[in-house]
Amino acid sequence: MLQMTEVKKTYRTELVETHALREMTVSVSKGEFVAVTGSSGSGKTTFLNIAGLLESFEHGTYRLDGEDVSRLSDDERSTFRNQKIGFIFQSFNLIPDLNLFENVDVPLRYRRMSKGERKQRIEHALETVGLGSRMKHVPAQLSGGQQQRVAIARALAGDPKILLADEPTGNLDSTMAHQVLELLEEIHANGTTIVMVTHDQELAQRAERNIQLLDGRVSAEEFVEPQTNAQPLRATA
Amino acid sequence: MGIGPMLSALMRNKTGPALVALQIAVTLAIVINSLFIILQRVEKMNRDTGIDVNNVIITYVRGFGDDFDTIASINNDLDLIRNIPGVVATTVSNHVPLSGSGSGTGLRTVPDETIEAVSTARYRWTEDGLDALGITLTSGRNFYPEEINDILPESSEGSQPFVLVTQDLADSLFPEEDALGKTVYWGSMDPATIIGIIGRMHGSWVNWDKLGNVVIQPGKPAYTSNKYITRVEPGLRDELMPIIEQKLGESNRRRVINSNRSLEELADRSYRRDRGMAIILSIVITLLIGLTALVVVGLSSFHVTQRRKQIGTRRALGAKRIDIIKQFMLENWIITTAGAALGVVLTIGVAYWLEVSFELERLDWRFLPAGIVTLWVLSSLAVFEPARRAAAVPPAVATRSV
Repeated sequence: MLQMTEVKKTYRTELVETHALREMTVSVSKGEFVAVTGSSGSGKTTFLNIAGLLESFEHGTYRLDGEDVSRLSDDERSTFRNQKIGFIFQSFNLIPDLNLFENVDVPLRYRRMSKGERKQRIEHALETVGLGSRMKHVPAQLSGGQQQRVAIARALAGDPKILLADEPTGNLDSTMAHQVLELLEEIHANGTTIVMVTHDQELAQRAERNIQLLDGRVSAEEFVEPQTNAQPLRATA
Repeated sequence: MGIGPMLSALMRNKTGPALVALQIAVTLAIVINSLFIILQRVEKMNRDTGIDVNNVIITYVRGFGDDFDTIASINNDLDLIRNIPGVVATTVSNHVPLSGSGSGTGLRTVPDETIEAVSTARYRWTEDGLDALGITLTSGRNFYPEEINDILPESSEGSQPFVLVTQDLADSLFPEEDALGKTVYWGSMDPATIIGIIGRMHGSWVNWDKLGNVVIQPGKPAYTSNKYITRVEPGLRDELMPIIEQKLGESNRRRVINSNRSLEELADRSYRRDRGMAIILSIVITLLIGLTALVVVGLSSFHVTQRRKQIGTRRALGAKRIDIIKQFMLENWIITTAGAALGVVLTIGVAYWLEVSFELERLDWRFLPAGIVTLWVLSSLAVFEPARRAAAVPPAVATRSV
């Protein structure tokens, strides 16, 4: 699903040159749930940005869902992100002036989908995360956990090939974090590939495989014993 | 982003957009009404006067001393001017058209004081008067030289029983008939026959609504102060003005030349308030449009900064740069259109108030769509640069924590 080979990324200012990724090679198989961990400055976010085609890189190759995406144009990357990648952000990144329905609708509109199909997908996605009855609410009327569930619904509505989660429980208390994590596990159990960036080792243990980064390189990899009994994802009534 | 979600987003956060819409509404109302007034003033200043304004020189002279022979002085002066090469014609007149100074009278078609007289400007000049102003007759005849009497200050207005009138005055006096050959009556009830009709000639007071009403009597006004009207060959005016002044000054030391100006300058003075009003309103329009553009740029730029993370998120979710530009342009279009809708109501209200309070002409409705389209274009241009900057926000902003 995701094959990154010897990818280098360097940030340059007039005075400083920072090597964020140093010949990083990472591979994620279809249907895998991978956690990427590391301390601050280890390159987690840069990895996620490159994996999600949010940033370009200067060396190496990157194949995603069988396509070489190393040298796509800005517009082609937008289209690829829109059609194949679902994002879950640490601070949810919902648009505060739009209600839940409209928030989930955002990526679908960029896909130029028909109104009817969009409506069907949005309702299904929101029902899946248990917020089907609150479509007309705005984000400010929800708890943090609910907002993250909306963000997950937004990511799911596009039926992505891979879900990239950036510290998905970083802004949540333990109860809500647990609920969100269970939701991610359900999504994974349903067959979706998930790559989750986190600094929380306990959280990382819920994934199937841990990739640890240090100074822009993979420093360790370990497979984790399954800890949950997550069921395939079903719509919540 | 479609219009529906954008509208609902605007409604949830409406203070800024509402203020911009209000600014646009006020701008539309002021700009359209001001523009209408400007165009009216410009139209007024550019009216066809019927006079060859650009090639006419007006010389004001005044004799002094108890034994000053006014008639002889005028005759000598006119001969002197007439003989200067490049001069087409010259006359002495009691007043100067378009100058702001003149005299008026009332004419009737029957000798009955109970009937309301038709107001008109009144001039007296020699047989060269028409040619000196470049005025043409459409029917009838000019004065003959032998019909020109010396008009002393004490002469009555009915000193000669025939007159020339403008077509405007003829139409006012005899709406359904040909005025040529008809008799009109002065305030003294002395009769005068219309012997010629002038196609067009403006009188002295450019703000008068009966500016085109002019009656001309034959005569050679011989007052203490006199005005010579001289028309020269095209292009020679500025060259001949000092020559006329010099020759007149040298020919008679007992007569001073009060001023020697072009009729164009005098007419410009008469239209000074109109020109000033047009200039002031143009400045107001320019400043207001500039201010509105700045407000649009300001709000859009603020939104770009405020929504940086949101823009990055949209980019991460699949928005192309053009989608972000479209979003800002569409949002601006909605605000502008809302402002324009309110502005139309305001514009009509202000126009009605101006019409009722200041007797201005009714606003031409075509100014409204033209104004709205102009504002659309203006605000689109104003928002384009902020929208372009918004589109340059990288999608990686979505994953930044600050």
